[in-house]
Amino acid sequence: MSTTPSSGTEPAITATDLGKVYRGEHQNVTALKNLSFSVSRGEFFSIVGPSGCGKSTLLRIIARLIDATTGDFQVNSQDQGRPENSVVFQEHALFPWRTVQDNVEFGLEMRGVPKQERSDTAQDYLRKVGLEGFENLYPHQLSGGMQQRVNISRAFANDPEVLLMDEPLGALDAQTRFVLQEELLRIWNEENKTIIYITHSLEEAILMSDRIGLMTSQPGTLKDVYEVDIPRPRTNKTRNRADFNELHSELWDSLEEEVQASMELRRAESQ
Amino acid sequence: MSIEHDSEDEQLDAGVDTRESSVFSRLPVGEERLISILSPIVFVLLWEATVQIGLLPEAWFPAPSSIFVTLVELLRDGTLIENTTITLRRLLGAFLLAAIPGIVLGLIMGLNATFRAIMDPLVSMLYPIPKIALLPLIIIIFGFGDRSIIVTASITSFFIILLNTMAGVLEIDDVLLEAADNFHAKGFQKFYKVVLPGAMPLIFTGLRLGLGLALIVTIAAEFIASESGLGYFILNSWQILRVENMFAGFIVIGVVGSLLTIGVEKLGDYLMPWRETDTIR
Repeated sequence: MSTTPSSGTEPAITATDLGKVYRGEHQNVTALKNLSFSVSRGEFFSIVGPSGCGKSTLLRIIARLIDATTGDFQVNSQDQGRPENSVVFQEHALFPWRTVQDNVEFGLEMRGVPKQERSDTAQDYLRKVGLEGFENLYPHQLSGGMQQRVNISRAFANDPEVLLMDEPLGALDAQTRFVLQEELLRIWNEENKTIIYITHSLEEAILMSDRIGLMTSQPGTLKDVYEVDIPRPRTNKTRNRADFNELHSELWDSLEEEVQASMELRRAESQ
Repeated sequence: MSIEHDSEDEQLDAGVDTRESSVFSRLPVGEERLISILSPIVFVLLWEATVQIGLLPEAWFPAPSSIFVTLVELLRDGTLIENTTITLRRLLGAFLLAAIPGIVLGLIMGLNATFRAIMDPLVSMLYPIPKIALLPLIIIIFGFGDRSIIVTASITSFFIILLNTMAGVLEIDDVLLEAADNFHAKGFQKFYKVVLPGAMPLIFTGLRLGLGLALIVTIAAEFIASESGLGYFILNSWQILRVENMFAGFIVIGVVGSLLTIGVEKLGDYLMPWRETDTIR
């Protein structure tokens, strides 16, 4: 249980002492405190924690959508032309006025990639998520699961150094979520990408990840980092393994305290 | 609190409305369409009948049949066409004069907090004034005729377009703006490819409402500030006591108003094929 990856490879991203304080009119809220971690290249790293623990804040800092109050992080880029990160957002993040194809091309278009090249790239990823033939539909014509497939394709097509995913499957129904978890694992396996994956589902984190960072409730920081030693390839059957369930209960024991603490905090705030 | 939430299975059939009970009653589609075609026909027939048997005074409510005859006559001799053209020209002038600055300033207000802070109090002060009340002042400035009518109608229309455009920008979902930033949309590209399409639905709502208001105010201003146009034609019909002419004028205004509204909506559908079609507009 260390905050650095066990394998000796070069880290794709290293964060040191990240902190975030939101300044309010009456009081300041410390959302993140002393958060350090490092993710190696090609690793699938999940972050779980009670709601309100600052998972999304952390993701937005890494995505450079907001600034950290303290600390710093560094992404080691192999290729200067490549974007540092791309986010798979939670839901309703597709541009409603763009077709499926144009949504997937968006990042490439903004970076000035020529039309033919970005069209081919988008086709490629749409095929990978099984959305061939849906290229010309608009997001509102798609189911939630299909929308998230487009969302995932858009980020992969942008070919970033690190993929950031903010509970990408959280709003889907259980069956669709199971199917997409396997698909995401398959694509990750083919593409060999570094992924930081925010989720509130322990099952999901265990199924997908190489390592899982467990966050404390507010102020959020990493309580522990767990290695997931379950062999790959993993499928939905992996959930039935004994070691899966052992890790699940170990994680839950640790998380439960934080969930309780977070509920206490809310109760105190509402009084 | 449950950590895994698995309770969203019921959304699978979200597209189909399977609910039986509701506060309002529903009709089968065919039945509803039939009723909505029949109701105006029955209304006109009833009107005709009540005038024919003398229940409605013909001096105020001429029979639909005689209104129709008058309408055809006035269309044939060019009176209605001429006045309609004049009104439409004024309306178009007023609409353009409202829409262009309304959209431009509305976009700036949406994008720039300082400009919004400056404009907000002015707009909230001026917006509630019924602009037709300004007509006498505007006549003093611009004189009797086209210019006063156009200015009055355009001021009315301007505010609703301005406010809807601003709201259109402000109501773009944050996550879309985050996505735009994350995928490195910058400057004009971000404006043109994210902000503008994002604000478009409300801009069009503003245009549709603005056009309707401009028509009302144009007609009203023509009562006073003009000796031509549909407004003048209706007022003049009253002065010479030709009630059928008045009704013919009402019909033309109704048709013009509906056609313009449908036109703006069709233009919106053409420019925004991505909109969900079953939204209430």
